[in-house]
Amino acid sequence: MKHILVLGATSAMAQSLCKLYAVSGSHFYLLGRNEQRLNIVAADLLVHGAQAVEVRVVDSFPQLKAAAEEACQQADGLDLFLAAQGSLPSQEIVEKSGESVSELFHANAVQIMDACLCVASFFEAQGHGTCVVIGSVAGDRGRRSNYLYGASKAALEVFCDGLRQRLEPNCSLVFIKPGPVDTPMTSHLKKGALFSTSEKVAKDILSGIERGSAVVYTPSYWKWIMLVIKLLPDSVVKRLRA
Amino acid sequence: MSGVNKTLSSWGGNQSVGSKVYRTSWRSEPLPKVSTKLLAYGMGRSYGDSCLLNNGTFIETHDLNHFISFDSSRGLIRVEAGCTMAALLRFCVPHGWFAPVTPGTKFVTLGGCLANDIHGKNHHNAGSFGCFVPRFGLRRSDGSELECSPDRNPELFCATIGGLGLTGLILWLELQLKPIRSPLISQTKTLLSGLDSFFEHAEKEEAEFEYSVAWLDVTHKGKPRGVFLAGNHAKQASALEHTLPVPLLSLPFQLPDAALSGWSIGLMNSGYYLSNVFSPKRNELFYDSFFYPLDSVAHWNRAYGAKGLRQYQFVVPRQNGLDVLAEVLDKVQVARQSSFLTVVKLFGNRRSPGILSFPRAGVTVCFDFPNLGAATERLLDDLDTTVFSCGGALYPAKDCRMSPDAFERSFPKHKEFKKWIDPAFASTFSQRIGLTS
Repeated sequence: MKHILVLGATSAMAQSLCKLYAVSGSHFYLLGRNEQRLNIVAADLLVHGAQAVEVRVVDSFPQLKAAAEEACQQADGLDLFLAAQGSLPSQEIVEKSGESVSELFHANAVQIMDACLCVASFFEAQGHGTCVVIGSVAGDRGRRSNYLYGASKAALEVFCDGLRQRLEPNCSLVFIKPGPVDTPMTSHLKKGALFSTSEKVAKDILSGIERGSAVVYTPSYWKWIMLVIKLLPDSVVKRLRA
Repeated sequence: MSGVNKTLSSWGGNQSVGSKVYRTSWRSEPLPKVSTKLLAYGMGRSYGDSCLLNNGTFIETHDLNHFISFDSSRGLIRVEAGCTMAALLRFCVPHGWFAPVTPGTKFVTLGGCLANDIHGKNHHNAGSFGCFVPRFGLRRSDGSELECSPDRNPELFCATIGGLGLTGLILWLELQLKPIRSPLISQTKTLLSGLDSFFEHAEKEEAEFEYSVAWLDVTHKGKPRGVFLAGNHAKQASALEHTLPVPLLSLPFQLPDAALSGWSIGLMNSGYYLSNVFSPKRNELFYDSFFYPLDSVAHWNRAYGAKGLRQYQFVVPRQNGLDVLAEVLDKVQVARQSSFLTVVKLFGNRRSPGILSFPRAGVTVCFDFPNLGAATERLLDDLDTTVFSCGGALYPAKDCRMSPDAFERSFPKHKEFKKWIDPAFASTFSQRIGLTS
């Protein structure tokens, strides 16, 4: 049985991964903003075999800190922290308003960093624990159509690279870089052949955690696609329109 | 929830025009606030236009798939309406429970099963899907969220079972599962020669077998031939945990229209018949291979080309069964049309609570014809006369052509049903046959 803390528990990827852990009777602490939705996810996990599920609504940093500490201080400690919170607003709207850039970075990077730092100190004291943070292939190189979202995920990755060094060797951090996934977050996008499902992503995350990977591209072919994209010279990239 | 412009298709190849799609993930969410008509869309496995709506708004229920509760001692499960039959079985078979009724594909949502009051190979003893749903949740466009059961909102309960999704958005449902000791099915095959032999077999084997269905080779000249398949859940207990094969094959693109017609259908029917002549008559197989043989080829409907296929399913009283079947097969042969998969089954006496429920005591026959345009339409019109001459009925889930008159003859309680339609809901089917505006 594992004790798992989830930030952004109502996201499709978090739900799929939690279902895989529920089968072995895990104990969950679900954090999110919408209580009704959190309760729906909690019941689903209980039916799928979870031993216990606790739900906390977090809207602010003090609430987030209190909930993370509460989960850490349970008698059996905490094994896994999953940060699956994220938002993908329309790039056009964000480009026109400075306000929503800070909102975007707050949801996709700042809050997750805060939560990771809370949990990291606890993991260090406890002597074991795994952080799983969901990033994106969009953070590998800026793209005209979603560079703001990409920038927030890139910030998160650099943070995770450093935190991983701090946590090793007793604790670990797995950074996940999914390609586009068919979830409610991407429901406004046109679906191409490269779209994956949250169930497939969850399986890849699970095997990445079990292998002790530092970075997991999912589906794995994205590792090679992004390698090529990262190697493209700027003289080519600056002319791309997509 | 956000809306996008998207074209949705039915399994027979019909398409929606000018519609928006909202994807819903939470049963706590209100319905989209739009001025157009609404319709839920699940897996799009209905063949005709009952799952489509032109110039309207679809509520895509794919993500509305949470489990709500499960009583493992009584086999009572409550799930959201977008949960698929595949997901349900993946969960409940390892617990020793099975779906009380299942259609011929597991890629359907349970909300769709309820809205079409689907039937399966066990109709002769179990009845339809709606007989096993003690309660469900419904969201109406007036903002209300209602629990419907025989005691609470009984009229809406009866109208929604088989109500083609027109009474509101089905949010969740409770289902009474059936205990099993093994994921295996003991299957028996018998070769049929002549229509009499189907009726003899069906009547004899109904009592002994929980599941039964017959396949007919309508392309065969002379005496009709076929295969009678019957099965029971294996009595011998065996490991309930199991891995099912993922689809082995997938048709990546549409075949040309001519691929499935005339001689190729005849060849495949003969091939299927002969494969049954030489295969074992009794064997045990996974439930998946018994119930869902076509699921092993993803997108098999693409074999019918861009024009798609026309399914035609009817039910007639049992006493007329033999004559109707003979007449219908004759008409199909005279019209020189071929049906790839022709299925015959006896329906039992158990009535569903659904006002618009299709299954009723009698003989049901299902054809799938490649869509050859006017020639196919003429044949189907001709078949209608045979079906209605003895008080038969057509199946809306497989239809994209029945007339308002055919609908009213098929469903004598349509006036009563009309009172319970949610004014914000409609489908291309309901508009075509005059149920809604």
